[in-house]
Amino acid sequence: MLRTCVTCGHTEFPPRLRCHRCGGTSWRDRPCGDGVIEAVTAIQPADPVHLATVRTPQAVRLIVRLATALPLGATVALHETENGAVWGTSNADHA
Amino acid sequence: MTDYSGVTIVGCAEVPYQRRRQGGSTLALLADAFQRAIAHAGIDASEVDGLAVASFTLPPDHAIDVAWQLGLTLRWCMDDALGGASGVDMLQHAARAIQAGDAHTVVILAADHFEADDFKHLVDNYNRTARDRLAPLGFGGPNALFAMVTQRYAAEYGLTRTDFAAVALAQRGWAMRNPTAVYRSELTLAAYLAAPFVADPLCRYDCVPVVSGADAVVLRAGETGIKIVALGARYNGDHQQGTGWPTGLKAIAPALWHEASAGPEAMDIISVYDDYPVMVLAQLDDLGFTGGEIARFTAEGLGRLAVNTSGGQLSAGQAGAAGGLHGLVEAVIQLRHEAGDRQVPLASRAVVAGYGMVQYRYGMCANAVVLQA
Repeated sequence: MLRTCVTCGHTEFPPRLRCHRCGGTSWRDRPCGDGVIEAVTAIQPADPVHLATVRTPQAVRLIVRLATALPLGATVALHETENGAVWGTSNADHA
Repeated sequence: MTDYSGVTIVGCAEVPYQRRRQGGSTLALLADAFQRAIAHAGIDASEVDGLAVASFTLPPDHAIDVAWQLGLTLRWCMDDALGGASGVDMLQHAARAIQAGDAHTVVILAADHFEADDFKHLVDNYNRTARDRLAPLGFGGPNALFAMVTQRYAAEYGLTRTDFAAVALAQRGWAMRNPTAVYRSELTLAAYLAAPFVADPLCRYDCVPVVSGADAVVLRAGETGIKIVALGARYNGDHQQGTGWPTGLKAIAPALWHEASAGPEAMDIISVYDDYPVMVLAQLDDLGFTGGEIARFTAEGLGRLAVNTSGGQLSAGQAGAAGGLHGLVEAVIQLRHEAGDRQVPLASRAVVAGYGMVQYRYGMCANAVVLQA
């Protein structure tokens, strides 16, 4: 879940106490929505964990887990799991 | 703005780094570094009235507990928590304390001792964000984050793996002349390119070997010794809203060189915090060493300049918070002309940059100091 400053509209992730743009301390939750993959990597080559940097339309950059390798520029749907991880899935993942 | 007159660096020490240290403790490493540093400075422990300590693995102890263990009575005491930027940070605070008369002789210390599971625990609990937002991804530590910074940096400046290899190879060349570096065998471009990825596009030689070790620097009121001629810091410069570069050094560089009355071309020794080759290139660029042409710089600049002459953390080892002091200790050794086979002839001026404390995607902290023998 992203958070948007009630005072100035700036959107942030991860959450913090005070908006660095305006000093506001009230936030409203906002769904992650979609984002575009800016960078990708994979760790543990034997059993790869795919990770990506994803930029949302609000210009927030998140570190997300991918189920499979995806190319730069791909659009992914973002959702947060209960443990705090954000996953990115492409439409192709459901195909 | 940055008048540091009346303070000098009079000694330093590094407890030789060990890749897989058996036994020992962080406290014992700190004590070893303290003893070596005051011996190097030629002073007695009873003369030390200020102590600063940086360490990830020291808890539940703090700087004051270290002072107690060492039997020191102090007038000034500081805990530091800026990781790769801790060396310059402690130097800044200690120098101001001495200038203000709050202390006369300060030892700044950093050490970490890692057992098998300590490093994973450290990266998964580095801060609230790492614990709550990164560890649940199974991110495995900063390699993945800086792999992605590297990928974007390469695309931005038209770099290939050969350009990042140039950093690793140049530093290995220095390490081969440093008897205490943990990796001293020759590294070839072919071996670099053949190494498997740790986190694509980073291979083993782009990632620092975690070691146990300690570093120390001694500062004193006076005029005889190595002088601090300029110092600057910038923390949270871009609030994690950017790409990972430039670092905060770009904003402080103009004032740093102005205060030093010297530019990058006058530096005999350059120490930049080398957690990854991409950050070496970014810091050198931010400080004005590359002329903005990174690809051309990697091909010729790294062979021309004395960058990370210990071999840096990439070859000498990354001893946790002690890594924040490593480059400063190496610069002091070079300026004292005590660097043996790797001594840069007639070295009299050095710049040392700190970088670190990953918040979410890259480091929050950058600082730098210019030293003169």
